[in-house]
Amino acid sequence: MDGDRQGSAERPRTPFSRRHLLLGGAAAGLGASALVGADLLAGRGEPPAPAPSPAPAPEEPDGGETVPFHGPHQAGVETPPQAHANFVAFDLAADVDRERTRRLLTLLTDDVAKLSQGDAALADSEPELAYVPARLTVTFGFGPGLVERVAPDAAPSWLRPLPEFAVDRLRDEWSDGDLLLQVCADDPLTVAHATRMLTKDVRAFGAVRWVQAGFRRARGSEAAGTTMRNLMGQVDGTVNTAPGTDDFERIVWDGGGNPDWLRGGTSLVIRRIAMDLDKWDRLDRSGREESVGRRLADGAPLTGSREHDEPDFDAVTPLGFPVIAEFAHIRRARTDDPAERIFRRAYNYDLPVTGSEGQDAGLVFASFQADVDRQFVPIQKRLDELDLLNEWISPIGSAVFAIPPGCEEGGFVGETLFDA
Amino acid sequence: MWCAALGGVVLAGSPAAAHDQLIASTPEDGERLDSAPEDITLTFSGDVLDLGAAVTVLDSGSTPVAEGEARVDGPDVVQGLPPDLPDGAYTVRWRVVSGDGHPISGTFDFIAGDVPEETDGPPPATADGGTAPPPPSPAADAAASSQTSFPVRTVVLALLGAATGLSVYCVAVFAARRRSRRAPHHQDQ
Repeated sequence: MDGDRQGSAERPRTPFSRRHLLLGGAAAGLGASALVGADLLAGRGEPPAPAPSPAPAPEEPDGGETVPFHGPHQAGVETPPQAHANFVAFDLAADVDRERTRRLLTLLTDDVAKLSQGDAALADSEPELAYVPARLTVTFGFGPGLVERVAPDAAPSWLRPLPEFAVDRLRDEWSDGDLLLQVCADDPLTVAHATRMLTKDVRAFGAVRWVQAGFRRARGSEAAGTTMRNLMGQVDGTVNTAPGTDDFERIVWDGGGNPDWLRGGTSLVIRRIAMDLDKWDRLDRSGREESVGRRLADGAPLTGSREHDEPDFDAVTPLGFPVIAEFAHIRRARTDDPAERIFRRAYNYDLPVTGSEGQDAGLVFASFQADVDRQFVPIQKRLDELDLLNEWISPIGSAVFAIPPGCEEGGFVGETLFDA
Repeated sequence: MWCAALGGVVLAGSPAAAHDQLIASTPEDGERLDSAPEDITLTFSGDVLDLGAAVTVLDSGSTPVAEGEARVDGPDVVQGLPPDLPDGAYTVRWRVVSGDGHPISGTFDFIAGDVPEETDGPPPATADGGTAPPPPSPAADAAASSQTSFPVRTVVLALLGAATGLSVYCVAVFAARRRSRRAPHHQDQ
């Protein structure tokens, strides 16, 4: 202070004294932060969330809703995905032969028919939990081991573990299995109860090999039909065939090359795909969007403005490189062969971790297709060869199941296999 | 202080960029060589992913003389050139995937042989040194503008604010001087 005053007293005032530089700088800084701050504040307040119009209270709770169990196809494939799922795989005991397998399937069919309609299972220990079916579906899948026990010559050629892929980090505890039950409902308590009842049925015949629990948005959180998001924040499953269309029939149900007992059935591939979310955290938003080729906000392709816009794979940047890069996930997953398509019905998983472990989260990828080798494998091969997304994801589990057709009242799921 | 204030604002506005950057190239940007090199080597600040590295070399007529996948070796990316390239001005356009998974791109020029310096050489494109990819396309750009324009907007506003602040200060100082000139003994007290 003193020095400053002395200096200005001794020297004639120059237009740019240190004091002026400091004070002028302060004024400029103040002005700059004022404007920028005001802009930020204004921007933050910009999109005020529209006040949600109060929805009329539903007359009936959603939990009473049921999905028909009997029919030409099993439920849980075309069914709009419920909010919660347990994928339960069992190993059958060595002494479970053809006849005991029949008994097991009859028992399970009987209980699923009841539970899915909101009735207690046979000898249900907590019948009250069954009275909220919440669109419960249980879909049966047969692994190679079950088909082998019943009709060894009737296995479709694709019913075997998938070929090895370079990205695979498969673990036994998340792979394979003789029998699968895909238990889905909009209420997690319903899923837990059904899983417990059915697991008790299997107890005398085998053991649980793995359980993969999954979830989506809660029922009613978003408009029905909204494409799901995965835990990387991506809109996941935009290009998916729609149940009820001819396209869906071809992709899922039309197994021309499949054995007769699978008519009305299909196949299910389950891949447990771990996400390295901590590594993903280090990638900024535009990098995330370029790895997939879609925008995070709405799932629109980088060359479009709406989710379902067709991506323009020919569009290039000013430097001449493709806007949707060669390594972008959607370009790699795409093919000109209309047969190489699948129907996805995936769920998120997020297991509790303790201490300093990284997050144990990912996707229970589930896809239905008439022929695994013809439809699923070529897609996975392309993604295995090149897909920038592989930097953050790795398959840690893999299983293939034959999905038998549905059954009529008095029948049981899988009965066609016994006639094969 | 002015620098600190402005710098702080700009830093806060830009995304936390941990991408690799192009730190060197052979030839260098703007370099004049006796004859065309055998290959182009780009060196980045870290190991880039061995995936999706592409380098295109254009002659002065914008015809590619080399393009497509380039060889990745740690932080180095190498694109071979055809032998006996004629003398001329060349533009290199590159895109690699940074170690963090973020695609980055850029461009630079060099001249091979005894070629008169062109006043309007190849279009400079966005010589962004590889910090961010150029806007992908008009459509994508429009939709992404809320993202990309943020730092620019911030800088412009900061400069405007700074100018206003400075003017106010100058006016104040000017006014004070006029007052002190009217009271000349004020300083001596």
